[in-house]
Amino acid sequence: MAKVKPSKTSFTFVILILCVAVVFGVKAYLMKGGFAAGGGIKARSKGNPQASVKIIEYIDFQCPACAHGAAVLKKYIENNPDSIYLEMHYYPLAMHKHAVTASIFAECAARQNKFWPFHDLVLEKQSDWKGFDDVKSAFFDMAAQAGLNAQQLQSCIIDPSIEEAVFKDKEEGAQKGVKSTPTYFINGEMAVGGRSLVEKLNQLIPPQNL
Amino acid sequence: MNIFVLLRWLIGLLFIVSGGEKLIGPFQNFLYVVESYEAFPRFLQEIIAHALPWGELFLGIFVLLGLWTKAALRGVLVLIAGFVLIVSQAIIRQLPITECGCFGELMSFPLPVVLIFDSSLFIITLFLLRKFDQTVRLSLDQHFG
Repeated sequence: MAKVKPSKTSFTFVILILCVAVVFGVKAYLMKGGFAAGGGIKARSKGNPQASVKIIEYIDFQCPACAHGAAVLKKYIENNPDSIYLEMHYYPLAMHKHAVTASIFAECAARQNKFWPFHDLVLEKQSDWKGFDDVKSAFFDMAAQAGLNAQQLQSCIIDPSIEEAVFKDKEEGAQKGVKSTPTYFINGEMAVGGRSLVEKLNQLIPPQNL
Repeated sequence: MNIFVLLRWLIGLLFIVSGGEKLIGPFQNFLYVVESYEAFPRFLQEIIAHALPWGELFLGIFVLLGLWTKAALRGVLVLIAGFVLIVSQAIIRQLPITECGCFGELMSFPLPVVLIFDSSLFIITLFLLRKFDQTVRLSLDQHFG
């Protein structure tokens, strides 16, 4: 019986179909972990836990887009205190040399229930400190302004479990597909960057409340 | 085996990795990258963020296997020319792209380095098209005749 040689066109179709199947297969496998929210981070969350809009943010304190996003989000939360719940997670990017230190200070602030004042100060003054070689004294100053206890902060920032907590957050983010900052999960749906955040919030919050 | 075939495989692999990496991750990550270049209206940004990775993957596979090689190399050339234009306008407008972390952590090259890389790829692809007889060796096109 003569062997039938496949035509170039049919071979091309087979290749294309295989490609699509492989991509969707790998994607489904990687996303199997889901987009579940992390727990036990009450000090890094604000708003109404029963709110209709639940946001999980992955932040790098040295990222300019994160500072911009935080200002936008703050305005939305002020205007809609009952409809938004925000939970913050760390995602310090390796390209930002002070991002890990900032996250460690922020986590220490969280452990003194001062996360949000420190978060706001660090992001507002980002352009002042991001060019420093040594940022610790700037962070200590901001921590004092935010009302942190200096002695507790001193021992907290050298506690290895704090850095571990920061990187655990980052690892969880990476598992959810986070690659850049700021990344938001708004009611479970991913939005990267300030523009996507605003688009999504405008869909979810009635315009009179903006 | 010759240098042209090796370069063809290299470009094919590069496009497969580039497209595949974007496709298996959430689409929003690449949308953020497209957005950061501020070169297109929103609806086009979304279309590009959805379609470009597939284009890269398919072209990469065709170039690597040597299937419809000439058309695939021309497609690669068009894509790279597009990348060069987009990156150039970002440099001219001094967009803060490396600072925004839009490329995540693996790709935080300054834009001029990206431009040099893309321009080199453009020249190599042009070279492969010029020496097509040698580039098409060890390809499925040869097998199908």
